[in-house]
Amino acid sequence: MATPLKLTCKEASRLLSQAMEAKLPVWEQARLRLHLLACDACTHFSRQLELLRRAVARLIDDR
Amino acid sequence: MELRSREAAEDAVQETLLAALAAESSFAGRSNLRTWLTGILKHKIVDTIRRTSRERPLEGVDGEASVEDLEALFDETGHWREPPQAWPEQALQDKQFIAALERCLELLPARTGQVFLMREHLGFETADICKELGITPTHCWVLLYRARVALRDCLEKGWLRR
Repeated sequence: MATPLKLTCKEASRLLSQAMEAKLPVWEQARLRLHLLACDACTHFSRQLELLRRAVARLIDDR
Repeated sequence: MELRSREAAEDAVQETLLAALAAESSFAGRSNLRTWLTGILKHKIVDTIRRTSRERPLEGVDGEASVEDLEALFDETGHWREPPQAWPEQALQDKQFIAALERCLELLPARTGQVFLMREHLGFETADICKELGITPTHCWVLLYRARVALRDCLEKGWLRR
């Protein structure tokens, strides 16, 4: 990590998953937002998690 | 899928119907039979999971709770080795996506799949899952993270790139 503010994709992906379970501390939210601004891959990852959540919630009801 | 075997699932359904018959009077006032039965079934599934985890206490959880093998998805600077791609918004309407998702769910390690489906399909809060399965919240978060990362990786290979 170059600066304490900077997150790696590895850290960001873990925080994105954790944010689906519990509110992140404000500091972590800020670091995450900053990372997402600059990182397409993690932005895609974040949207994929939301899509997964919606897809799995309605899995069996569709059958 | 939560129950891992057809017999266990059939037992749960049978117990649900029996419980439904026994509790017929409490149905009064509920608008939707399906909602009501689903509610009972969820409880039955949790009962079964709880019973199984008592019989085979937390088998494999230690292995599943580490993120070591997930490290392989990132390079030494913490960047994605294969960066996640944009998925089309209409994936939810895509039968092939849903079929791939079901296949990918089956590939998850047992406990990881249980925790993920209790959270995302049955809609339990993380705190309740921890209590039911006797694991710590941190354990739970790791299992959910593992499930999500594995699923998106599996879907990208098995569905998006085909």
